[in-house]
Amino acid sequence: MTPRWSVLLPALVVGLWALAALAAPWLPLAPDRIDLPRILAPPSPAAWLGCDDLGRPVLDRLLVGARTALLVGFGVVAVSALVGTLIGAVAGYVGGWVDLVLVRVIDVFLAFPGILLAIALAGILGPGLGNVVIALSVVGWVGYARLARAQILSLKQRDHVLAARALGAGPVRILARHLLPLALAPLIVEATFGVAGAVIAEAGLSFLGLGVQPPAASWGSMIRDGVGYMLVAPHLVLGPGLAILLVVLAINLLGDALRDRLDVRGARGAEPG
Amino acid sequence: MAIGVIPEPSPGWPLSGISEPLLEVCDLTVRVVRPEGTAAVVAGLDFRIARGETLALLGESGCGKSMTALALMRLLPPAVVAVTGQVRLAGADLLRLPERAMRRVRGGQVAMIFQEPQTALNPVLTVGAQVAEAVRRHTGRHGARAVRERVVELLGEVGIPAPRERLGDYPHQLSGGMKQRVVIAMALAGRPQLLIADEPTTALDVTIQAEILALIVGLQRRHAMALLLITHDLGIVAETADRLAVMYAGRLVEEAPCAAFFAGPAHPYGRRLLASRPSLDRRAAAPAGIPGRVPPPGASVVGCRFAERCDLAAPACRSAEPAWHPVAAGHRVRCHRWAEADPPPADAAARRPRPAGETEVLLRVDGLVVHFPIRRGLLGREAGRVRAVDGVSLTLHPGRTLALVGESGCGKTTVGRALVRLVAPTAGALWYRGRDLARLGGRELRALRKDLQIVFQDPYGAMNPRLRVGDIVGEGLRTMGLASGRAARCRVAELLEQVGLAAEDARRWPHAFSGGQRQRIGIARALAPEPRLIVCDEPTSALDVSVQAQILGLLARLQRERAIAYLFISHDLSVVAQMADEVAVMYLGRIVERGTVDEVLDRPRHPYTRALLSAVPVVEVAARRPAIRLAGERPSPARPPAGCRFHPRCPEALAVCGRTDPPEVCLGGRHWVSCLRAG
Ligand SMILES: Nc1ncnc2c1ncn2[C@@H]1O[C@H](COP(=O)(O)OP(=O)(O)OP(=O)(O)O)[C@@H](O)[C@H]1O
Ligand code: SF4
Ligand code: SF4
Ligand SMILES: [Mg+2]
Repeated sequence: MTPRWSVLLPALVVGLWALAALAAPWLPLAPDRIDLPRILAPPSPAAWLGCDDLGRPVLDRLLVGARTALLVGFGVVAVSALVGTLIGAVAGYVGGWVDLVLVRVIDVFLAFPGILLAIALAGILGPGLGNVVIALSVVGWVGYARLARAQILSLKQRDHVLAARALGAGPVRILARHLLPLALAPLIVEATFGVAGAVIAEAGLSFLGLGVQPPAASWGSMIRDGVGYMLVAPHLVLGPGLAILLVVLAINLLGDALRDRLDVRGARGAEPG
Repeated sequence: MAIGVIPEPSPGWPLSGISEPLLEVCDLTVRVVRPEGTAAVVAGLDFRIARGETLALLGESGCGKSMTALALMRLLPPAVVAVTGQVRLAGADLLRLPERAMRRVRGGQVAMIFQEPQTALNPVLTVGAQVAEAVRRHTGRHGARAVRERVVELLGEVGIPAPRERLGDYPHQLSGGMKQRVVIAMALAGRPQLLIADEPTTALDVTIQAEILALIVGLQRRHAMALLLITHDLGIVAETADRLAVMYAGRLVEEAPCAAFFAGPAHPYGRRLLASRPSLDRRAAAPAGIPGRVPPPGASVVGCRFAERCDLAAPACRSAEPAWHPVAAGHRVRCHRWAEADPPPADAAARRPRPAGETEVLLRVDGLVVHFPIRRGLLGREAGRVRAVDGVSLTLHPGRTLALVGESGCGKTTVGRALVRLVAPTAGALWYRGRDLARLGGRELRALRKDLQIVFQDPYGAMNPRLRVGDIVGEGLRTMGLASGRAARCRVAELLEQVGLAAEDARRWPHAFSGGQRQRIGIARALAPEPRLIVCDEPTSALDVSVQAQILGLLARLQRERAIAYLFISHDLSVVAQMADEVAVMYLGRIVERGTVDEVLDRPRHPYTRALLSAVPVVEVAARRPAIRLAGERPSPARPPAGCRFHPRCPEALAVCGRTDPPEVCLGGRHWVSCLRAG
C-alpha cells in the first residue's frame, strides 16, 4: 500500500484540530489577557501569530477557538443527525399520513434558506454556544431526515424486511435491526460533510455577532474583530481564516474518501465490520 | 498428454455437414485480471458455426457463456480482461481487427441480442428513432423516407402489430416481449450473417418466450443467418438448435448434434443435467440434481473440472484434464470415462407417495381480494386501483402442495403474501383453525405468524446482509421468544444441518454462499418456528437446474418429514408437475382452473391453461404440442376487461364471453374451471 496523502494529510489536520480543541483547557493559554502595549503587534517569538486589537495573543485565541468550532461542529451534527435520522426513518417506515405530514414539514424547512433561518433563530435565542448549536440543529436535521427517509423507503421494499415481519418482528426491531444498519453508510458520509458545514456556519454566526459571547474566542468573531485592521494587521484575519479553510477542506476530503470507500464496500458486498 | 487415449484432434476435426464455417473459434481464452493475479474464466474454447446453422451454447450460471459471447463481439473492457485465441468470421480474425473495422462488424455482420430488453433500449429515445439509428449506421441509407420505410419493414418483420403507429412509442410503453421484438429488429437492421442471442427469453413469460423463440428461429431460417443461442434451458435447446456445445466451468465438455445429445449425452455432466430437468410427465419423481457446486470462475483445477461432482470420477480424472474424445460423427466429449455406464442412482424409486383422498383442511381462502390504490397528485388522492387479486378461493391441506401458476403480474406473489398476512387483504377471509386471519391484527396475528412462513424468490435480497447466518436463521426464535442464548444456537445448528449446511456456517456472512446455499438458509429460517404452512414464492427460479433439483428435493423431504403444507408459487409448469399435488392456474387476479396435477396438466379445460402448457419447451420430440398463440397483450390489472378476463386473448372466445363473467364449474373430482365453453 502506498501512503494515500489525500487521506493522511486531511486526517493529520483534523487530528491536530481535535487535539488542540481537547487540550486547550489544560494548556497555559491566556486568550483573554489584554495587553495594551502590544495592540496589533505583528508575529514575534513571544506571540507566534501576533496580537489582536486588544493586545491578546492570536495563537492562544485560535486554539481556544478550535474548541468552540469543534464543540459546535460535532454538537450540531450529533443533534441534527440523530433527530433527523429518527424523523426521516419513522416517516419512511410508517408511511401514510405520518409521512405526508413529516414530508410537508421537511419541505417547509427546505423552502427557507438555511443560514437565514439560523441567523433569525440565533437572533431570537440570543448569543451563546448552546444557542448556536440549537439554531444550527434546527436548520440541519432536515437533510438527514430527507436522506434517511429515502434510504428507508427503498430498503423497506427488500424481501428481508418482509421476512422479518413474517417472523413476527415488530416495527421497532425492524427499524433498528433490519433497516437503519443498512441505511447508515450514506448518513455517516453526510454527517462528515455536516461537521464542515457547521464549522462554517458557526463562524458565520459569530462573524455577525450572533455566536459566542465576547470575550470568549471563536474563529468567526476573531475575523469580525480583525476586518477593521485588515490593512494594518492582516494577521488578525489570516490566522482564523486559514484555520477555517484548512479544517473545512480536510473534513471534506475525508468525507469524499469515506464515500468512495463505503461505495466500493457496498458494491463488493464486503463483510460489514 | 498424460493418459493419452486418443490424441487431441487436429484443427481439421471432422464435423458432419460443415464445409465452410462462418465462425471459427480456436482456443479462445478470456482471463480476468484480479488483484491476486489473472484467472481464466473461459479456457481454450474451440467451436465452429456453419452458415445458416443454429448452435446452442448450454451452461449454468457463471460457466462463462456470456463472457464468451462478449469476447466474440470484443465488448469486454480491455482493462479487466485479456482475450487470446482466434475468432475467425468468414476468414477475418475478429480479435486482431482494428477497433474501427470491428465497429462495422458489430451490428453489421454479427448482431447480438441480450437477456434484458429493458436495459438494451434507451429509455429516452422513441422506438422508431432507435431502430432508425441502427438502420442508418449499418446500411448507409440516409434519406429520411427510406430509413423510415425500412424501420417500419423491420418492426413488421419482428411481428409488431401496426408498426407505423408504434414508431413514436417510448420503450416503457411496450411490454417486455414487445421490447425484445424491437431489440431483435435493431439486430436485423444490419442484415447480420451471425446472430448471437444471450438468454434472449429468460426475462420473459413462458407464452411470450415461446413466441420470441419462434420468431428468432423463423427469422434465422428466412435470412439464412447463423445463430449462436446461449441458454441454460435444455428444452429451448431441444426445440431450436441443430447442434449444441455444453460448457462447464469455462470449458467446453461436449459438442454434439441435438438429436444425438438428447438420445444419450456422453459427458456425465450432460447426463446429470438431463436427469435434473423437471419435466411435465415426471410427476412427483424425486429429481436427481447434481451434488456440490461449480468450481468458482478461475479456480485452478488440476484434472477434470467436473471431478468433484462426478459419480464416475476415477483417480486419473483428478490428475489429467481429459482431451477431446470422438463419440460419433460430429459428437465429441471431454471425459476419460465417457463410455462407462452410469452407476445406478442411490434411491431410484424415490417417488413421492401422493396422499390420496380427502384430508383435513389447514387453511381455506375464501374470496380473497387485494387491491392496491394508485395514488396521484400532491395529496395522494386515489386515482384508481390495481386489482392484483380479485376474488381467489383456495384450500390448503397439511402435508400437501398446492401450486399456483400464472404469468408475471397475475397476482401470484400477492396471494402468497396475503396468505401469511404480509399484505393486508382488501376483502375475503382466510380461515385458519376456526379463525379468520384476515381480521386479526397486532398481538393475535403475531402469535399466529409462527405457523405461517414464507420463502422468497431472491434468497440474497431476503437476507439482511449485516447479519450473520446464525442470526438470520435464529431471528424467528428470538422475536417469537421460542428460544434464546445457547438453546437458540443449538437449534440454529440443527436447522442448518437439516437443510444440508454445516453448523459452523452460522458464523459466516450470507454473501459468502452460493445461490443454492442461500436458498437453503432461507428455508432454514422459515423452518425455525416449526410452521405448518410455508409459502414458497418461486423458490428456485433464480437457480440453475442442477441446484434447483437439489432445493426441490430438500423441500419435498422436509414436507414428508413434517407434514408441512406448501403454497408453491411458480411460473414453470415442469417444476409444478414435479412438486404439486394440486394446481391452481391464475390469470389477471383470478383462478381460472384448479384441480389435482393430473386433472389440470393432463386434461386442461381452460384455454389459458392449454396455452401455458403448449408453451413449455419440451425435450422429447414426441411430446411436443403445437404452440397456441395468444393474441394481444396481457391487460393491466388496473383495468381488467369486462366479461371473461381472458376473452381479448382467448383463441376460443365466443361473443358472449365479452359480456358474461364465467362462473366456476366443477368438472368432476376436484377439477374446477371458469370458462363458458366448459361444462
Ligand atoms: N405494493 C404494491 N403496490 C401497487 N401495486 C402492486 C404492489 N404489489 C404488486 N402490485 C401489482 O399487483 C399485480 C400483481 O402482482 P404480483 O407481484 O402478485 O404478481 P406475480 O404474479 O407474482 O408476478 P411475477 O411472476 O412477476 O412475480 C401487478 O400488476 C403488480 O404491479
Ligand atoms: S473425466 Fe472423470 S471426472 Fe471428468 S467427467 Fe469424465 S469421468 Fe467424470
Ligand atoms: S369464457 Fe370464453 S373467453 Fe373466457 S376462456 Fe372461456 S372461451 Fe375463452
Ligand atoms: Mg411474483
